[in-house]
Amino acid sequence: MLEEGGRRLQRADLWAGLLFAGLGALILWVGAGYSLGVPSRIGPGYVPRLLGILLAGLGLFLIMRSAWSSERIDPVIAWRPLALVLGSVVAFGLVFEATGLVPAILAAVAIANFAAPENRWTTAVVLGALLAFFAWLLFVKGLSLPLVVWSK
Amino acid sequence: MGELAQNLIFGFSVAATPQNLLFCLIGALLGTLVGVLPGLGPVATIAMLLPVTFTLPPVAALIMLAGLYYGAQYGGSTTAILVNIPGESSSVVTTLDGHAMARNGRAGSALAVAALGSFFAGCVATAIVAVFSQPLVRVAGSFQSPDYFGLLVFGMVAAVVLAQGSVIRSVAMVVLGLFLGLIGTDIASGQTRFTLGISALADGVGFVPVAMGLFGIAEVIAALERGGARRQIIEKISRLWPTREEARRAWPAVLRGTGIGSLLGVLPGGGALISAFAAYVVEKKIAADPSRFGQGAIEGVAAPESANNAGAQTSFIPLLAMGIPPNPVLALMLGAMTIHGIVPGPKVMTERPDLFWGMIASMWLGNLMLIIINLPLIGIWVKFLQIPYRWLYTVILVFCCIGVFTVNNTTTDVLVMAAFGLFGYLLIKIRCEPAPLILGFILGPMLEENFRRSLIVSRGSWWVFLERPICAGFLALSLVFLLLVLLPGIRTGRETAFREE
Repeated sequence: MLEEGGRRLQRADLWAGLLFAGLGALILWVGAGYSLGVPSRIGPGYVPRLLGILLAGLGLFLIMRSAWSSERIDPVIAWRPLALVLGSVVAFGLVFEATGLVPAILAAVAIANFAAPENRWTTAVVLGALLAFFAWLLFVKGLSLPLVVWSK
Repeated sequence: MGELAQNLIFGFSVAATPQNLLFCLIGALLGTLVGVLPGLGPVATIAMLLPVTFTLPPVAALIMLAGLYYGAQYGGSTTAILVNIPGESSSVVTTLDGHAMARNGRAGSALAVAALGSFFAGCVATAIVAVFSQPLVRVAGSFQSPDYFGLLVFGMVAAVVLAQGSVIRSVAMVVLGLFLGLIGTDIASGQTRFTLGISALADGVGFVPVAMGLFGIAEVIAALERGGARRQIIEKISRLWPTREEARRAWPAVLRGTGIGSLLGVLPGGGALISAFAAYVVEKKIAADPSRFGQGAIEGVAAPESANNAGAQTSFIPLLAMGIPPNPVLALMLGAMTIHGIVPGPKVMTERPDLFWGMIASMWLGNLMLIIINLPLIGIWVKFLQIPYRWLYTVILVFCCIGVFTVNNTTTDVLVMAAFGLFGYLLIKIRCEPAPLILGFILGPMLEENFRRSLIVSRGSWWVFLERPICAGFLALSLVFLLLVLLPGIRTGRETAFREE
């Protein structure tokens, strides 16, 4: 019985349906305040309203269909690559904002490097140095893009 | 006909200047490289190169970017055949039979057929773009808002139906993409919509961070999860030429693939990816013995590889003739044109004939370069395949970050890319295809605009979409497509087509 319930929770249509129904409801809720206009001159809220209804409807249909569709989700989340890859992208953005291109690359490499368990510190140092140098050479020296290299 | 010849001669005189030849070669080389390297595609690369094109003459810039797109179609097959992972998303189906051929010691034949098929398709597609753009510009001239609306709907439906995965979920993804495309300031009223009070979103969510988050970043996470480091490269390439028997089987498939790709490239929503899928399905359907597919059937390499190159090239037609970017790469090309003050659409041909015909001529020259880059020089690209993924993914991530940042010089875009990377990973987990979302995202604003204009013309009556024969035709065709694919018999056929992975 427990296993039966667990299987039902792994149906792809159920999760997709919940996602789309939820987002559709969100669109309708946030967009409730936007003017619909009149049919001959539709307002900014008209098309989003249509899309919200359509999305919520499709979501509900998928939830219903999940009762007899069999495709499964993949319930395993690879936390390590997920956290480290996203972390390195966010770090790139924040460090770039604070200082410049070279520290941002170094920070991104330092974090991303450990998303693959077999990588060591040496890989990060070598890759970081190479990438920072070539990015500087290519984008700043070669293509003279207006990028801050290293401020403060 | 004389006029066409004159235009083509003019085009070649533009494309064959030393500078334009050089940029065509750079585009072809870079395209092959990003095609070969899994995880780095034309979208990320063109995004990175976009700022560079500020400083180039527009013709040279667009010749280079176009070369990059169809060059990636050549490179992608190499990785698909030798490593069993698609170097480029449009080579997914090539892995099935291409890698099976390589395991059977026929890697050389597979590579040769893929490259020669691509070259043939490239030549035909160049001719098609040259011959059919002009009439299509005239047809597009008679299109009114409802017709554009119908065409866009049909393009999206066709893209969903011809691609992989659950149709209903894909339709929902298109709808979600259409919505995301509307975030920001409404052009008609000036009101900001769905920005959640974030001022950086007033100009809308950039499509480069969305596309690179969903494809680039999410794909890196998924590849690391699969243990991207452990893969087997088949390095031994025997004779780089198909046997007579293989050639006999491959030729008709190349012809069919070229036809399918040329046709599907023209659709809004078309391009390399769905062309390859559709060509593979067709080959399997009409084969006398479908069980050979997945075991190393040469048609399974010849057809999709011809189709993706043909589709990549003919997808320039909707952009040049109607101003509709049919896929993410062409949306970036549109951006590159806008940077130079060129408005893509019917007027390009008359106002910038150098650009229009120069680009067409460069496509043929580019294909000629690519066949040399990809066949005799195959050994160089195999070397690139030996870079371990545990080094490569960091490089891909850093390039994606720089590419996204430089488009608008804002860190917001980098953070948006991270957010969509997370979303894309979750979508992979719940088995939703991200491609339809991007398509909806690109076409959303255009769809709303034409919907709005149609209703203005009709004074608010929805009948306008059925009264105009062109629009009604497109909508009817969309309905037929959807019904066909939702009916049980055809659905099972579509689902089994990709099953032997």
